[in-house]
Amino acid sequence: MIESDVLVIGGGPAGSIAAIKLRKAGYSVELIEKVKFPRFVIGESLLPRCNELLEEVGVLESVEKAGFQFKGGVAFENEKDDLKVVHFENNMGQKHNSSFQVRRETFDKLLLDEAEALGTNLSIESEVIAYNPTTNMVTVKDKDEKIEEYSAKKVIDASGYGRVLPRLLDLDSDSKLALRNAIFCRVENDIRPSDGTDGYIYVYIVGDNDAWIWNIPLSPTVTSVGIVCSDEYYQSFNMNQEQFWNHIVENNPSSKERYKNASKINEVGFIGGYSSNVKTMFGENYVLVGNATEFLDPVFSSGVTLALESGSKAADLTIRELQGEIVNWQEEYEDYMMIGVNVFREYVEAWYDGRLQDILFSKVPTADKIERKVVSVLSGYVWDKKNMFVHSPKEAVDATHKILTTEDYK
Amino acid sequence: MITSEEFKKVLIEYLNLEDITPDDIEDKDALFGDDGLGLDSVDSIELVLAIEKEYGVKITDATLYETIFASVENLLTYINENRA
Repeated sequence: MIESDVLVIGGGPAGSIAAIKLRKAGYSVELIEKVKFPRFVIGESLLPRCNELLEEVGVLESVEKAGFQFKGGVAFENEKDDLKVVHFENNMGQKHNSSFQVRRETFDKLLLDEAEALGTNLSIESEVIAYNPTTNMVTVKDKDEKIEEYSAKKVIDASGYGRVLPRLLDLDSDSKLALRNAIFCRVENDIRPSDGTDGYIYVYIVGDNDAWIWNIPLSPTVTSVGIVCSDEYYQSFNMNQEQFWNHIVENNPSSKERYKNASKINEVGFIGGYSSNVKTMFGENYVLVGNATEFLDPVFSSGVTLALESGSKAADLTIRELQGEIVNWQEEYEDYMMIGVNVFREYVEAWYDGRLQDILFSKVPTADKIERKVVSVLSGYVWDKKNMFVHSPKEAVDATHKILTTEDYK
Repeated sequence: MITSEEFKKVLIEYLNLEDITPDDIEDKDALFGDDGLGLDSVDSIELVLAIEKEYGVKITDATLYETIFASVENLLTYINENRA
C-alpha cells in the first residue's frame, strides 16, 4: 500500500496546479495519470485569469518562456458584417490583461513537469479502477496490469473527460446545457488579421447562429480551427466529420477567406456531447476539480480557467484541512466555484439564444459603459463581486439586453 | 440605517464613478441627467441590481422610479424604509 497526504487523479492543468500548491506547502502527493504525456486535447485558449493563477503558484514565468502564442483578446464576427473585438486591456482594472493560446500537449506537460520537479510522485499510464469513499482507498492498475492500493487523507479528482469519481460513485447528472459536438483540425498558412489582433481568438458565427467556428492561432503559422454545433445540425448534413468541417469552413465568408491557402496538418477530430454536470463536487474525503465537475460549452474559452481556479481552490482548502482546520466545502468550494460557473453559463445561454450577440454587436453609444464589465467576464474574472454580471448574472444580462435593444433608450 | 456617507461609497464603487469622493455628492443631487451625477439608462440597471445585492431591496414598481430616483436622498430613504 502506498500512503500519501493527497492523491490526485489526472495530470491536466487542474491536477497539476493542485499538486504544485500542495507540494509547495510540504504535503506528499501521489498523482495518477492514465496516458503518457504529451497527449493531445482541445481547449487551447486561455484567459487572463489563468495568468494570475499561474503567477500565484510561481509558474507564470516558465509559461511565458515557453514561447506560447500571446493572446490579447477575442473577436466575434457574424455573416452580417458585424464584428466585435474585445481587448483584454479594457477590463475593470484587473492586473493581467493578456493570456496565451497553447498547444495543450505542451502546456499540460510543462505544468506536470513543474509538479514533478517539486516532488510529486507520478504514476503514468496508470488507471484508477476502484475507490472506497469510506476508507479513502484508491485501487490503481498500472500499464503492466499490476494492481496497487493507495491510501490518502484527501483524493482530488482532476480526471476531466475521464470522469473517474463521477462514474465510480454515480455522481453524474444531466447538464442544463444542450449537448453539442466539436469538429476540429489544425491547419497551417492561414491569412491572419493584419490589425494587431493576429494572436486573438476569432469566433465566426455560422449562418443564423447555427454553429460557430473557433480560430485559435497556436504559432506564427499554425491555427486550430474547430466547429461547434448541436448534434441535430451536424446530422442534418449527412456528412462524415471531415466533409462537414470542409463544408462549413468553405461556406462561412470569414473562414473561406482566412483559410483559402491553408492546408490541414492532422486529421479532423470529433468530440460529441459537450457539457456535463455532477450532483455534488465533494464528499467527506474527496473533491472534484476541473472538467470532472461541470464542463461548459467552449465558446468563451472558460475550460482551463475553471480547471486552474478549482484545482487551486481545492488545494488551498485541502491544505487548511490538513493543518487541522474545519473546512466548509459546500460554501468555500462548491458555492464559490458556482459563482464563476453561473456567470459563464448565463453567457453561454445568452450566446445560443442570440442575446449576447445583440449585446456584443450593439451600436448604441451607451454600450461603451458596460464594455469593461463584459471584457472582465470574457477575461475570466468571474469572481469579481463588483461586476453586475458576477453578482447578478441573469438579471444583468436580461437588463443589459433590454436596454441595448429597446428603441426608447437609444 | 444606512448613512448617506456609506451609501455614497457604494454608489461610487458599483458605478465605477471615477475621480469622485462621497464629499463631491450632495444629498439633493439628481441621479440622472446633466445637472446631477449624470447617470444614464445603463447605469440604472447597475444601480437597481447593486441595491438589490447590497441591501436586499428590490425596486420593481416602475411607477415609483421617478420619485425614487429623483435624488440620492430619495433613493436612500426608499432603501432604508424597505430593508428587511
